[in-house]
Amino acid sequence: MKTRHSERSLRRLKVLGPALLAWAVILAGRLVQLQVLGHDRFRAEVIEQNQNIRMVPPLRGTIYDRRGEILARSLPVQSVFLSRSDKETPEVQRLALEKLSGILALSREEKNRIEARIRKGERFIYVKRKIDGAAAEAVEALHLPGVFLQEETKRFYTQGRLAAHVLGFVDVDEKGRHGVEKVFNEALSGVSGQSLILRDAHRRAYHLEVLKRAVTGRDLELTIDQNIQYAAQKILARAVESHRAAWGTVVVSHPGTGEILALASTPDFDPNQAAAPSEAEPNRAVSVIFEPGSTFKIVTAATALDNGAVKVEDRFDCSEGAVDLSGNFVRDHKPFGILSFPEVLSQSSNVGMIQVGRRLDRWNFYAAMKAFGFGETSGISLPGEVRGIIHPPAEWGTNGQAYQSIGYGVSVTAVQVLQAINVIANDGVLIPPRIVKGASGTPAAGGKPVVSVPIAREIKAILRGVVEEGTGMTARIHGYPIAGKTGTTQKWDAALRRYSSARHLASFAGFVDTQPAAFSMVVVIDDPQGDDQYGGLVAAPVFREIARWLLLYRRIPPVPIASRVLTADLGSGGRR
Amino acid sequence: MRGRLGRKDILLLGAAALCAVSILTFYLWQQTESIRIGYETGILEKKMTDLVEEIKTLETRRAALLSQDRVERTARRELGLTDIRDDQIIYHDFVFSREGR
Repeated sequence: MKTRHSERSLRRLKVLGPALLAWAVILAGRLVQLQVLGHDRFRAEVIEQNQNIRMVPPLRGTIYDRRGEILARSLPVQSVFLSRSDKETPEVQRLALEKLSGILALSREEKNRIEARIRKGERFIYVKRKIDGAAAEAVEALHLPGVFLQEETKRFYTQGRLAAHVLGFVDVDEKGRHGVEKVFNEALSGVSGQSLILRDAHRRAYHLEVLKRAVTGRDLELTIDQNIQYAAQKILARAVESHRAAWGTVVVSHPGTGEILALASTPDFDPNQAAAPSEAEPNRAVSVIFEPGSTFKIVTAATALDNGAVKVEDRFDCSEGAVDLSGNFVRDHKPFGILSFPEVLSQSSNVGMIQVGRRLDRWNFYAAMKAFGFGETSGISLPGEVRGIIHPPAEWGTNGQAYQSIGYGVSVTAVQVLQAINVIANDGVLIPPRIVKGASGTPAAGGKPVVSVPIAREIKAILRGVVEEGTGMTARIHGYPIAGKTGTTQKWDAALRRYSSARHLASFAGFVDTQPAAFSMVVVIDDPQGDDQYGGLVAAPVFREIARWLLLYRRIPPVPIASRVLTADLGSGGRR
Repeated sequence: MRGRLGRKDILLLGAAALCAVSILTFYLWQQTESIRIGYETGILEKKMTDLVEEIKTLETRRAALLSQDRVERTARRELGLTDIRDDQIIYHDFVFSREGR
């Protein structure tokens, strides 16, 4: 029994053994094929099916005004794109596009552009970027093959046109193209992250692992106050319109810190609509230069007093009403007779100021212009800021000094004029203007003495006289000590190669002369039409209107100064 | 009778099988639980992200709705806000110069 059983087992083993061996060899071969030879391909397929490494776009930092109000913020939105797999034909993409065009309101041009790319066989094509939530849901509900949604972010400028020149805008890829968006692009942008999503057989995500955390861009706090900005922008726009002027700009600052409270420029633009730099109007406060005219007399007067070239008691003969500068007559708007030094400034006499200027040493005058910040960028952190033009004394010629003492032959920006008036408001110390609070790289407000304290105070007193009884009376506000200087510049006519008698640039630079100065402002209006073209009639009223609003807004009480009275009767509507 | 297992052997084998099945069951349960918690965590994380985004969206919308330009337009169009008329302002002894340069 035992022998027969063993023989039978041996026979079975001889049959089954090779069969099992063959099976094992086949299995091993298949394993080698799958695990070794096809390893990379199958691994990629598995990852493709079950895992998804997703790029996480960083949220761009928010821009706030000085009161913490949101001026610009990025929010997540969806973009629709076509992505064709090997199995799908371009026809599938075309059909998808047809269905999407209604939901996404694609224009004929957009459709043509996408169809051309489908014909070229491109595998990744954006259909529409940054669509609203409802449209994204509608696209998702269609479950179209080869149509996907991608998360991106979109910049929203909550206040529309408000402070557009300061904020600037970003392009479709959220890259800053203008304003502080451009200057602080790197800090605002943040860093992209990566996350790994594991999916089950139904493509449902069951695990999300952050491989690299997205770093949100840094927030930016501006020195701008949106309420002051709104008032300044509105009042300026109204003035530019009523005078049918070419453009205008207003900059309001806090002299003690150099902080810009409002910076408006007309015409403006809507940053929500703009996408390319060509769509933005230039920021005329920093990127347009002009001859300042009489506002520059502040520099001449302060330098002359500071250098001891003139004394306050000095008197100047302005009775001729004109000065002959090698055949070109520079005139006052009327003959004044004998004027004291303060009267030269308060009456804005060109004849008198040329006499003051001639007493100055050329190099001292040039050094003073530089010290006041002319011919250099202010470092305000806005793109496109220009240096302006001041020529070295060697290039002045015979009459250069005379012209420059009344603000011709030099070119400046509105912000430079503001910086100069702030020197006087700050008792002779220059504090650079700045538009951003609390961002690294922003220069801290540091003072640089330009003129001595007594001289600055002397000029302040004279500038108060300009507003009390000089050319700047239209800037006067009852109960408040306003100091300022008007400017009316004849514009250079390139065709006629002489200064135009019909085209002017009107300006006013001033401050509320409290201790310390509450705020300062420069107003520039280019090429006003009509009868009123002087700085005192075009720019000073804009200063007054904004300043009056600002005094109420900041609850600055009037100071007891003897002056004329202005009251408002809101009740009866009649005269009292 | 050779090859027949004794009661003790059967009990041992049964216990071993039960132990193996228990371990396997526990492993499967733990895996399933882990995946279930993964789903829940994912859903909650998504919810949290959505809520944070919603807060930001609402804050932004609020800022846009309260923009001064919009408020003024609404006040003028719907509530009848008007500027002060000239006859509501009384000027006392205010000298207006046309000579300002």
